[in-house]
Amino acid sequence: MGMTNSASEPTALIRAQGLTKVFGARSAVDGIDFEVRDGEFFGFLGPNGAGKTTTMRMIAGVSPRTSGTLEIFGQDPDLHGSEIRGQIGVVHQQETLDMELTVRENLLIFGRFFGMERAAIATRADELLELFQLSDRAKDQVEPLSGGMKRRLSIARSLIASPRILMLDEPTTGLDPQARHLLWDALQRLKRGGTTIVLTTHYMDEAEQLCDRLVVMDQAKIVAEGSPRQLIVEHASREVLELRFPNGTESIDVKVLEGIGDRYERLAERVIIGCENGEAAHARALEHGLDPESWLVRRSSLEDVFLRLTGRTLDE
Amino acid sequence: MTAASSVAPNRTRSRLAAIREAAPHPTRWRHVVAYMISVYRREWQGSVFSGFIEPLVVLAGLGIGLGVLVGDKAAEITGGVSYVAYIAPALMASSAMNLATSEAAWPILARVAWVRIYHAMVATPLNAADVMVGAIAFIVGKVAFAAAFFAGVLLVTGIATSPTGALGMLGISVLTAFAFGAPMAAFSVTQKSDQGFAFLFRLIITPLGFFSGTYFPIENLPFAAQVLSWCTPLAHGVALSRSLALGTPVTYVWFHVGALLLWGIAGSIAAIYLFRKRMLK
Amino acid sequence: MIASLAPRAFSVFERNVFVYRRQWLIIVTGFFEPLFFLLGIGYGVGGVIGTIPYGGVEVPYAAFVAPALLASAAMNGAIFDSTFNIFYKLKYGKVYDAILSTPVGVGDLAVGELLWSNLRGVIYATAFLVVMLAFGLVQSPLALLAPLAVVFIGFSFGAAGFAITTHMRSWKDFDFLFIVLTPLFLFSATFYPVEIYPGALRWIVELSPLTRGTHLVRSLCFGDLNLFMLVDIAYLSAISFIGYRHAVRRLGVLLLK
Repeated sequence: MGMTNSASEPTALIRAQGLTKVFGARSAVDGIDFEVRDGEFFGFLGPNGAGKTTTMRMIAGVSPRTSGTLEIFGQDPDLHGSEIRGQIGVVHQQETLDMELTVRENLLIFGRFFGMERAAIATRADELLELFQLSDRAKDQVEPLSGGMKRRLSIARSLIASPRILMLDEPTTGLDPQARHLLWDALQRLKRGGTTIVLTTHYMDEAEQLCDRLVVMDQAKIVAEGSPRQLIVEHASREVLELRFPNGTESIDVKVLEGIGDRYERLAERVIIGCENGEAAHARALEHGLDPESWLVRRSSLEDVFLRLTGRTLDE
Repeated sequence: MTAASSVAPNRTRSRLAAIREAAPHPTRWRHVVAYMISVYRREWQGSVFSGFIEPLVVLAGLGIGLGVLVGDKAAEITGGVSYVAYIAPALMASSAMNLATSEAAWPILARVAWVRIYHAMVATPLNAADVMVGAIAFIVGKVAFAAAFFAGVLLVTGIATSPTGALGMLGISVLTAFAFGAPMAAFSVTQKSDQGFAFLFRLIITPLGFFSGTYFPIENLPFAAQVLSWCTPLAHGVALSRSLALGTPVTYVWFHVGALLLWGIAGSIAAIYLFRKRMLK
Repeated sequence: MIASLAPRAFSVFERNVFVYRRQWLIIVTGFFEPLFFLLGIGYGVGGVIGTIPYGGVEVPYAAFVAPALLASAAMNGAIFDSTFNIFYKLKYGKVYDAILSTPVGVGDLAVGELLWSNLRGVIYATAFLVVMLAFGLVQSPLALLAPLAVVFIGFSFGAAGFAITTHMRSWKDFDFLFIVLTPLFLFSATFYPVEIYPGALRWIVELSPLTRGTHLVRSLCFGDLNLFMLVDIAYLSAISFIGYRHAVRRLGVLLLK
């Protein structure tokens, strides 16, 4: 699944080179290069304001780029926007459902926007309502639906014309954990069905769970690229040891910290140590005379990668 | 029922307490008016046209222009004065109706259903009755301002024959605003969306503007329409306003004033009752 | 026909059909306003006025006013849809963002919305024509062309309204719309002939798009074909074109950032 024969390079559906968007004096996207291949699950990971949404809007042909090249299905979205959008499904970060229509009507009219025949739309709409567990709300107004339901409806709506690429901007922001997992399952199913999926997120676990490949964006630029595993291997150590010191960490000797693992971060009440083997590092820490109140060993995550690349956590 | 009779005195007392609890406080409503004024001070530009300028535009558009067409025939209906002078005092009353109803429509619905500021108000020592009395008082006060401006214009142009007449017209506009603002507030506090307003304005308020003696005498209407017209407040406001402006004797004055007061008081009670019902839900 | 010529614009039109299938009563109420004006002014005040000279003959006042009310019904139908409803969609509903993520572009969007607002105008005009026929206010079979003629009125006011709406910041700005619309309605040769105005004032009134629309409809209703009707059509078409172009440009600025 997802692995392609190395002899035949998979086709790139989206290809960007030096893609730049400037608003007034501010660069929202500053000369980025990336490629999204057919059938892959591709992510833009980064904090708010990193330029993810602007990049998505440029791909969807609703935001003319300032410079650089951008090709979707080999075509320029600024010149062939309509044809390109005909094969892309978009789910916006903010809810853009039509509040004046019912659940099913939202799907029906979207099919018309894509130029589909009415009979074909009706069949497809009922199929999607079933798939996203919305059949019993088909005749209801959109407003009273729960956040999770609205998001599912948005995705169902974006799939009405069976797009080749599905683009989701922060799809799980604001959802409760259960709704979030339901959505992840639905997206995995779609990918198995052959849809190429592009998503933006500022959740590390989401990127790690879903993406085949991702780029990390920060301040309008791409700072790293690869599969989640690759990024962790490249930019973080295999495991992380966290030691808790409720009375503060200032008094701990730098030399001691340097001797425990590959690298360390000293926070107010915690020391985070990157290392190959967390258990072994813990043993070394005790040998050096450290006496943490508690400790834990975990696998490195994208959070650590981001911290390493930008010197900041994503929540900042 | 048998058990009830033994606690009857107690029950009467608690019923009295309940009425006192629901009734407006003699002065607290003024806080609501103060709030409305503070909001209005920020947004007054928006209502200058609808309140002050529009009635004058209508007066010029229909009064002067139609006056040319009506010409000498005006005397048949006006008793000698020009057509502009005939419709001007009537327009003053009907614009009091327009302003009072629209002020009691969207702004009240917004506070009760959209921004829900009233919910916050009734969570303070203010009760539902205070809020409604304050809201209606503000509307009437706002209409009084616009009406004073209009009366001033009529006085300067000589359409109103005496300052006392102009002052009297101002009083009639205030009464008309009360007669329309209060029932409209009662309607608004029951609404969930503004769709009902479209019906109310297009099917009731607009025709009232035409068939209450504003542009031509009520006596020219079919009998059934005449009866219907006198059942609504505007006809009374128009009749009083016109005789005050032209200095003609006012007949049945207490009948007209009584009708306006009846609409206003009944509307206020309904507004307080319905608003309380909604707030306590 | 439009569906096959411009399918994407037509799909935007269809969206409004979906919405108003449940709200048709709102559309129905809009029909009563011109009727009340006809009864109140046309017959009420007309009862005092009697007949007025038009085209060299004396005509009943109600017959003179009715075509103007038909024209302004079309104007109102178009302009309320293209201002209030579009402002709501631009500002609060995020519907346009969703629509533009499909093959529909800003040009399609503007055409689709204008088709819809125009339909409202045509519906009001047609219903009012039926009333005129019932009241015996129609002087010529050419009046049957009036619902077609109002398309020019609907497009010009719809497009102009749309263009202006793209500049509105809040609901408060709508008061300025009425500062324009109320006098436009009252002074555009609606209730009395344009000849009543003295000197230069008359020529200002002649420039009002509603005066032109009223002239077009009134000429048809009285069977009085004249070359100035071509001026009316050209004038209204020019406003439609300029309004449409500006609306599309502004939609681009607002939505395609």
